[in-house]
Amino acid sequence: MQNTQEITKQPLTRRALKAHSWMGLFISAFMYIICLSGTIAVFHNEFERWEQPQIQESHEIDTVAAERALSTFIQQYQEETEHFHLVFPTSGIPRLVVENDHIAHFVNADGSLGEIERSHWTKMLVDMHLYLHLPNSIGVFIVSAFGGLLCAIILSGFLSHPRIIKDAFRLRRGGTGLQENIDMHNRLSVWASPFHLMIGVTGAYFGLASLLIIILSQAFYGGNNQAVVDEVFAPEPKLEQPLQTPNITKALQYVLDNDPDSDVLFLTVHEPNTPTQFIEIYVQKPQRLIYSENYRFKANGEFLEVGNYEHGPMGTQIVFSFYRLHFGDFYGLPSKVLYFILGLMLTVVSATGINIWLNKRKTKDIVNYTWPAIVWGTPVALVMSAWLNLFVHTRLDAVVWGVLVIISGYAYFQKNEVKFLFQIKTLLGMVILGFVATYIGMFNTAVLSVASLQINIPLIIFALYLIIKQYLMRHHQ
Amino acid sequence: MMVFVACTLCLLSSYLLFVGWKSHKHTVATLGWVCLLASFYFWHVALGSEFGVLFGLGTLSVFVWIWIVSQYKWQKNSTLNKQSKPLAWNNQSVLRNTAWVLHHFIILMVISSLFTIAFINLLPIERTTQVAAGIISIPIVWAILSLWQLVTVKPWQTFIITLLGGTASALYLFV
Repeated sequence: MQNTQEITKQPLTRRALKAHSWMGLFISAFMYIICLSGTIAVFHNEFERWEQPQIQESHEIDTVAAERALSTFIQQYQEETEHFHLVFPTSGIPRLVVENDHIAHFVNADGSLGEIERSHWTKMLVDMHLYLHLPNSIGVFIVSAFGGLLCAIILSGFLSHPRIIKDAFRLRRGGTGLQENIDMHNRLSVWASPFHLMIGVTGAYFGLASLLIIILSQAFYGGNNQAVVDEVFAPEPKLEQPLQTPNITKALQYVLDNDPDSDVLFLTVHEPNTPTQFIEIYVQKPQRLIYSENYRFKANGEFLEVGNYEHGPMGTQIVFSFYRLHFGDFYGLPSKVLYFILGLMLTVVSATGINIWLNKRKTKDIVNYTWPAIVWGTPVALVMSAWLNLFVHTRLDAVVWGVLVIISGYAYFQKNEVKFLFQIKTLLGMVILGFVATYIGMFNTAVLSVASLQINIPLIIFALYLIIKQYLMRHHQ
Repeated sequence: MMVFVACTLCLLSSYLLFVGWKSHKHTVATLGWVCLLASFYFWHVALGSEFGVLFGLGTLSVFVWIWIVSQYKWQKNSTLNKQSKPLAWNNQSVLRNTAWVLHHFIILMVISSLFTIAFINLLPIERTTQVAAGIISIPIVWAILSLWQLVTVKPWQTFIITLLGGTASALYLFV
């Protein structure tokens, strides 16, 4: 920070640019990791399928198979749980899954229990985006704070950009790389700013919601947090019923008959095996961003109420839309591809921001050497963790951060950015190809399934692009 | 079909904006914005208003890159030989920046939350809408406060005003 006299002399745009740089530097590395992991995690459903490509897939809901699977599951897993879930093939993953709070099984076509669900790598990826692999309560708070600061960076970026219209379509490449980075950074951030601002606001929600609840409950509800939640979301019904096996077929049939245009996402039995148990079925409404409309039933399958998220108060509808709005999971593949591209733009903006700062400095130090290691080392670490995940079930988060530290250390000791960039990009391509080859060897014929091909083909294309480009660049030099 | 029309209009809109920018013709650029508005109508018909707005804005952000990339200027590659130096570590500067970071990260977050909730509570809207408005507004208010602190020529005065605003909001909410 500078002294007051010096600051007073500077025009607002210059002060805003300094503010923009300061905030950018402070959040850059973590923002880059959050953006990159979030961009990849747009396809989390696809990655879950890809981790177990051998599982049989279907788009049909078979109520008989679902009921049989649930009753078998309840008999097999009698440990204490607060929920049983049935996730339907219309939820985004065309597989029927039955689970409690501890374990999940795929369901075979005849309703028998299939393989145990194992999506450790996808979970690690999503946790990286949501919590930066920190303990959940702290992690969600910190990542959300980055969402808030992203809004500040966007605002300061606009204030510090007097040539916003003059340069709207300008792109200079080559040179020292400074102009290229500036142009990429400014064009990407300006044109995609509505999306980036929306991501900032909705991202901040996940952590700020708990702070908001605490303040509201202390101010207006005598410290009762649940009362605030119940004000926005439908409160759970208070029931006293004789104990019985939940009649999910009757409940499911009710929804299929009365709401045929919606997609059934999943079914939850709350507080199972207690007098207060009830069934809740979540359905995705067409053309709506709200996460779901919820149908509630007594244990005997008798209809109770709807959550009223579709036609409820505007505030409830807005809050209930934040999830799909942030993760882009609302219109199948088209919305995911769009979010992937726009997310990639934000990732590049984070990376080029630091590139600009590094390029403008007169000298080089450890930051110049380790920054490319973070940018290119993170995807390498992610692929290596996926590779390891094929053989052993271990702490994948530790693997990712460990690999990142090793790559950063290597980059620092090598002290040659150009050579390092060539090596790391080639390494990324090679690691991807090596991983895909191992994957093919392990899953045999299952690699020809949609679940496998839709991830592996883009991966192979990206890896070949990286390797060929590096080879051509070196050849050209 | 509607999606195709919406996409075509969006592409046309991005092209007109590009041509308007390149030729400095405001009429062409305005026509581009009109095309974008028209594309929103077709997005709305095809996918509903909620998805329509997202796709309309999102596709424009992507389509403009066709024109940006199509006319990029190549400059001859050159490298700057910078001197390598050990990291200049200044304890005082690190401490000052850490305190500043914590101020932006925690204090301004709490103040913006208190201020926003207190302000929204004064509005004649139902509680659920107040909560939603709060969730949307807090990051924006936080961003504005944070930016104000950074660009102001009188940082201490700004800090005290912000603190007083937060205290007043807390008193209004809790006392």
